Amino acid sequence: MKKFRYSLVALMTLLLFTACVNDSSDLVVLKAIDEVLRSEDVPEIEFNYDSYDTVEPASAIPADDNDYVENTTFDHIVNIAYTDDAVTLTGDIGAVTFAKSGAHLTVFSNSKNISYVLTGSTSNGSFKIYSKNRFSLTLNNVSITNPTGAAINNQGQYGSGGSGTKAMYVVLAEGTTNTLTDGSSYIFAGGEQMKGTIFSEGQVIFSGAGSLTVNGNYKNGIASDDYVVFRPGVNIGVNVSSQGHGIKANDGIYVRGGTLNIAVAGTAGKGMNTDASITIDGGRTTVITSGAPLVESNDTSSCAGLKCDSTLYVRGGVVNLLSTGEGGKGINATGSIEIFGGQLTVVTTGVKGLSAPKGIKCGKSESLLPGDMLITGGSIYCYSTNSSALDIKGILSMAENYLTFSDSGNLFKVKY
Amino acid sequence: MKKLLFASALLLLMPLMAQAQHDDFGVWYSLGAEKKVNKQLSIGAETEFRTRNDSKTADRWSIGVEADYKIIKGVKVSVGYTFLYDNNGESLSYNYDNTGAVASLNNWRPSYWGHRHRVTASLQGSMSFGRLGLSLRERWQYTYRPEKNLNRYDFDNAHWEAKPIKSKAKNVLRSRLQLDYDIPNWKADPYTSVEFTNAWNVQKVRYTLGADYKLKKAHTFSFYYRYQDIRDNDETEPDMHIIGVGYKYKF
Repeated sequence: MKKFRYSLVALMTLLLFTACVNDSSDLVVLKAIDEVLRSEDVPEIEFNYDSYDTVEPASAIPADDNDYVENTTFDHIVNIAYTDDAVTLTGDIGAVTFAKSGAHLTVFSNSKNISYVLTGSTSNGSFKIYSKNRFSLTLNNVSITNPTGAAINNQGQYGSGGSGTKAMYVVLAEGTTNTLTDGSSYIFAGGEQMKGTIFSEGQVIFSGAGSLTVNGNYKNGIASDDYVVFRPGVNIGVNVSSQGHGIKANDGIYVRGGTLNIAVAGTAGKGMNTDASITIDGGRTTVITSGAPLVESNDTSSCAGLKCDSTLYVRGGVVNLLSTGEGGKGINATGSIEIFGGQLTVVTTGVKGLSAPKGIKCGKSESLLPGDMLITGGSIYCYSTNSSALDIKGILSMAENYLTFSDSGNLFKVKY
Repeated sequence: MKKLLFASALLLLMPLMAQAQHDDFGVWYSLGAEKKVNKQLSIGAETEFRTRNDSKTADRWSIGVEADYKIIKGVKVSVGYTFLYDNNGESLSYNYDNTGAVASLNNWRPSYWGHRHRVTASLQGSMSFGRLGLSLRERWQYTYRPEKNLNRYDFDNAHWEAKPIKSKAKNVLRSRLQLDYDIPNWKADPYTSVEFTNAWNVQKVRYTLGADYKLKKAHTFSFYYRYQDIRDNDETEPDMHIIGVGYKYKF
């Protein structure tokens, strides 16, 4: 009997010790499963430097629209040739006055209908202009680096303090390659503003079938205190390594066409940033941001491909936005978003830290600035690896005649 | 490659997703003592240990006391209290896309140990037909689970968050019909039973086939096979095959 009892106790003890496995999952394994489930055949967003479109035919030029350089006859041509340490003016130079310091040129003009044609190359030069009237600036295989300021600087009418400025038409001569670069620090004079490698107090309208590379090392690549327009045929690359934006405009950014490749690496940098609206009607716009967020006065600002304080309109063209930095967003529209056409691809891969890397954020807060998003056409692919694809503070409205639609939190797709 | 990874992910998830369909196996060990106070009254204590997950994982510890009182011959009432210490299984939820497919993991609460208090009151009637015994026991069972502070992992935001488990009380009625047979000159008496656990509907059914082996009156060794059929659709516990092993000492 004793042997039996001891055997029974031994058996029960042995059996008890077999029950020591934890049947709860391993979080590392679950995370790996979750990552696989969330992974998508996410489209690769890369810069494509091939020209997407061509200049508009003459028949497509609306008459009497001052945004079109073709509607002004520039019958005074001033040729400006840069060498590394000098700049030479030829042509109708009697129409202007100017001052030179090495390869740094300042033009003073009260005359109308002047076209400035820039050629040559300098590693320490610039083009600065005070003009009472709109003017044309043709880039004809020119390369300008200004170590201490903007490469192109339009200050408007001399003595006006930047008010009453007129349009600067930047024409990229067909088949040419142009490069503009600023320095990592600026020397300011007379209280004047200089906000980027190309800076204009007035409107800037880009046209022509040439290419332009803008390198921003101090603040912004292209900056205007008015609005900026890109027309079909242009091929423009903007690379900003500083804490600034690719394209910054106070009164709006209009992409009517062209090929735009914008890389922004700085903290809280935006590919396009405006206090007003962004309107995209055509062309191929690719923006890649990679910077970290910035905290100032308890407010966190993160990178975004497109940022506007009013409405974002996408009515055509191709828009590819990639943000890889912490909290980097694809689109951040304080106002509203209206998608009528075009092909919009937004991918954010950054981690969530100080801010969330939403794909598309619309509105500021549900109570104060809700922000509505309206979709009636085109196609949208919006994916966020570590956050929500959409963060619409107001109302999301979609026309019901879509072909396909899916929404699973971090992936939003619709196709009309 | 992504298709292969996705398929592998689903395979790894299947044990969790199909938990309710997979029959489990466990062993229930019990150790008890009983004292007859007088002809009507007896008191007892029992401790039990249960396993699950093909008996690889500890499922529950319990210790309880009970008192039985014979009202008349063949009818007795019982009251009891049991302290339960459970290894509650993990909980995993999912996000679904608008086609109904699993899109990602949502929240995960790992398994945790928690205690409960249980009181029971029973009425049992028994009849004998020669060597065949028939009994019907109706047991009211009240179980209380206190609130517990827990954490769960939020996959959408990739962080742990506090998610306490609220206190909960549960009342059920357990009805057990049992047949036993006294084999002559044989110390192992077999029995079989079926027990229904009812709340507002049948929550659980237990089918048992076992035998009690009595040695010198004081020692009783129990062995049984039990199949537990979970009928409650909200219950994530799987159906289970159970081997029971027990020992009781009668003073």
